[in-house]
Amino acid sequence: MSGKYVNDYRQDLRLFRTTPKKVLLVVGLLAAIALPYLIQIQWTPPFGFPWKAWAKAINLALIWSIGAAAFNLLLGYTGQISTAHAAFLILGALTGAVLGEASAGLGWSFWLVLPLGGVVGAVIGALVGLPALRVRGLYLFMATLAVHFAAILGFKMYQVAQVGFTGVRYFPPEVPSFLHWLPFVTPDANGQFLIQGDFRWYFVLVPITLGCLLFMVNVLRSAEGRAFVAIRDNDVAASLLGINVARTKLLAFAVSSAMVTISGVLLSFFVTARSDESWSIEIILDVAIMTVVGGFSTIVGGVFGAFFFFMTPVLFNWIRDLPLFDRFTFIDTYGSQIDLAIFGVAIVLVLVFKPEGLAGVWEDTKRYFRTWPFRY
Amino acid sequence: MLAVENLQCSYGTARVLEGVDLTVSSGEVLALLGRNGMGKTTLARAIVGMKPPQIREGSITYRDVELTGLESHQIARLGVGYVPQGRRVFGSLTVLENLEVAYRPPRDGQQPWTIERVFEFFPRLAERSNSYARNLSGGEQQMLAIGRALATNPTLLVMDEPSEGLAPVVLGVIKERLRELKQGELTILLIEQNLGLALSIADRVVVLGSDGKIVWTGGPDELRADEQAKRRHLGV
Repeated sequence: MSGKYVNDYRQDLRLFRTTPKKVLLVVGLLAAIALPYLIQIQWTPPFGFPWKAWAKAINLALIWSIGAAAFNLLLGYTGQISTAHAAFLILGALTGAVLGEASAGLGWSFWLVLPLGGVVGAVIGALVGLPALRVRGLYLFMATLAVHFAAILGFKMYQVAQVGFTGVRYFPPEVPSFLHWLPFVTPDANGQFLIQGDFRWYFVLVPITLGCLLFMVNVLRSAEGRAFVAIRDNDVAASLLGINVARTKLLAFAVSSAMVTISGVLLSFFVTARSDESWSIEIILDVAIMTVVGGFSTIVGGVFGAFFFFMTPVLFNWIRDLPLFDRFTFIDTYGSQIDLAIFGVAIVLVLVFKPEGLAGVWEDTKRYFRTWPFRY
Repeated sequence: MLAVENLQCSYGTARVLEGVDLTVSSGEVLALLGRNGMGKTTLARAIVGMKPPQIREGSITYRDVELTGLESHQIARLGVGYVPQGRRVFGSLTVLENLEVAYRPPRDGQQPWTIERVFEFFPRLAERSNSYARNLSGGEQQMLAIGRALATNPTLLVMDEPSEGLAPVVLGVIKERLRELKQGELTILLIEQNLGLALSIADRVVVLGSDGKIVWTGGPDELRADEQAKRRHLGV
């Protein structure tokens, strides 16, 4: 059965409480370590099924997991809609461009710029959250939309003044020499170990993403995190119970923005080049797709959504080239539009059949095994 | 403990309270009665710092602290617990989480409310501690609203129509619990439509009249006997 007897509060507070959960955690970690080695194998699966293409998709999904989960923290938990999401990706890119090892940057280490991005994001995030103290819903949507365009303008001004129209280039971060003892870190001929290519990035992104996600999960489990939900459900009642609504809203904005900014730093260094045209308003829709399909109001929902968002196009790409499908040339011509249409259908299907999203499917699966062989 | 002096409130241009004077002493249960639309809820909202209404004039002091001008979360932290009309529980939090959100450590010299004690007080809530509050029945939500206010460890509890929309059996439970709170020496300002409930637990009764002022003050037995006042001010 699924019962778990706890006899002190510390046990009750643990994230991974039961033996199956711990086993799953270890197996999951081992699988996560093995994954890039598998993808590296020179192999072409039957029917031309994609193999190496997964590497980039997974890395992008890892980076966007942070942002999607942060969006969920703000919208799903605290009930504050913000269209400034892309603005904080831009802020991260800008922080990296100005301070980090980029075209015209100050050349500070990536490992310093990354947490600094979080600090900058938190401060600016709290400022952007100020309108949330006055307006809500659609009005907040409009107010934060202004931030999006202000951020694009800011990036463009920096780019034009410092770099030129080609866009900012980001140079691969280096693993500091005092960490060269780490397994699998074998410095290149010049004594450096640069993080470039999907294989090396993966091992950097997994711990950072996990760290950010755990941070958010723990914030939500704290008293402040409960207050987020209380405010979403009924901000008046929350304030009558002594919750400082203004402070809590700003805190949610700060935490969420800090996380998105960190993912913005990661994204710029991962894709190595960014320009003012890299940021379309569609980014907000993309994150919304991840949030809805993955599962509203759960942190893992953001992760599921991000993986869905980046892995399905790889599958679609493959399907397009299959015999039979390759006869319809329009499928190839309008590939990305068809992808978007399929996302649209996916959202409708999720909303109709599984409003809890992929995270809900995951919960159902767990429940199925926990109560096996009893169906109810 | 709580003193309201010459309180005048309005919603925009509509004036509701026109100079209300009211005191609640420590350990007392004061029932505030009055017909619909007389401003009972307005008075409660003014005390706990909700806006609207705007306070045009007058003062509300609680243990020598002026409450007018404070934010509602500041007032709550001074020890004023509020059970709002219509309950307003946090639907997507569980019963336990609702209590955890509300919980504040007690002030000195007070018998502390812990989450365990709230569960003992309302055993029904303990049974449903992992249910989402939105799935509770109306009576259970009312118990949760009261329990949640108690978890803030208040020294004054303001209750706005706790009997509203409750089945008679549940009403009985709530009545009994309120009596227990009274014996626990909690100071309560009880706003009620239900005359029977109010008179059975109040130490003192005030009636808010149509001119936006207190029109009647006395003990519950006096009001019970005063047919004229009941007819004129309460319509019963």
